[in-house]
Amino acid sequence: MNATAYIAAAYGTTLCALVLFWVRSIRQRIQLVEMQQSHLRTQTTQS
Amino acid sequence: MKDGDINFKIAPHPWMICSLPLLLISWAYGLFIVPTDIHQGEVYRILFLHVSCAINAFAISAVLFVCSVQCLWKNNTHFSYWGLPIAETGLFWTIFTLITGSIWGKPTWGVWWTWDARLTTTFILALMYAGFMVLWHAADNSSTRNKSCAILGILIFADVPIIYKSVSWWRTLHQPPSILRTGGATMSTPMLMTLLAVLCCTLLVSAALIRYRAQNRQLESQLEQQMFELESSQKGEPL
Repeated sequence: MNATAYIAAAYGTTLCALVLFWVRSIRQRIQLVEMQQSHLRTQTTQS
Repeated sequence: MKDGDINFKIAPHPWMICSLPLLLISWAYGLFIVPTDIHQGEVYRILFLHVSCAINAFAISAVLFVCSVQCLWKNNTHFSYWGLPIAETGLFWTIFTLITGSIWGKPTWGVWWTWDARLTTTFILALMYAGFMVLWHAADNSSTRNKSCAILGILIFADVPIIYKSVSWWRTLHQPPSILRTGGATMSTPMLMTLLAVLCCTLLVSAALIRYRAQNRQLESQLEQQMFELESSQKGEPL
């Protein structure tokens, strides 16, 4: 393996993991916001 | 929705969105513009990433320490929201310190891994961050969870000076400090400036991630409270 392959491996894995970490956080937020909205709808229907 | 409830948006704050492109720009500068090292050749460019990951993991442990002390001393409830996101981000950077260090170590030292003092103490840091997360999810009661995790948070921070001094206390494979040392840094100014730029951008990304995930936890606990109130009102029980 040459230096470029090592550099690409290091930066590539970090970038992929960082993007995945971000995407996971945003997906979690979307789920929570959707749950909150559905909960609000239930409350409105009941009242 | 009650007056005290917070309505978070899905999209992150603009400065949070900016943090990732800024990090990529600083990486590109380190990869393509800074001159090649005369001794190590091109492979030294991994160090911009490796060192910034390590300093991030250490800085996050300092933040965790402050939050833990506040939790134990003043019984601060913010720890319920901030504790886990801080530990998750700390674990992320510690794992990447080990991975990038290993990738750099193979062409430089000839081995992927060795039980060197610095590598071992950094590995212990990763285990402690992971232990924090396990403990967080294992506890039933939030007060017990906060206290036990806060104690572990303090212990995590105690490992950082040991990691830093490990290369001086035990002379093993890892080289001694090359930035914070008497007689000044051994790196050339353009390399040092690039490292600082990558470090600042990585810190910004970490702050953005921790803030976003802490807001998620706040939203989660708010939702749990609302669900509980709804269930209680359906059963006709007093809150």
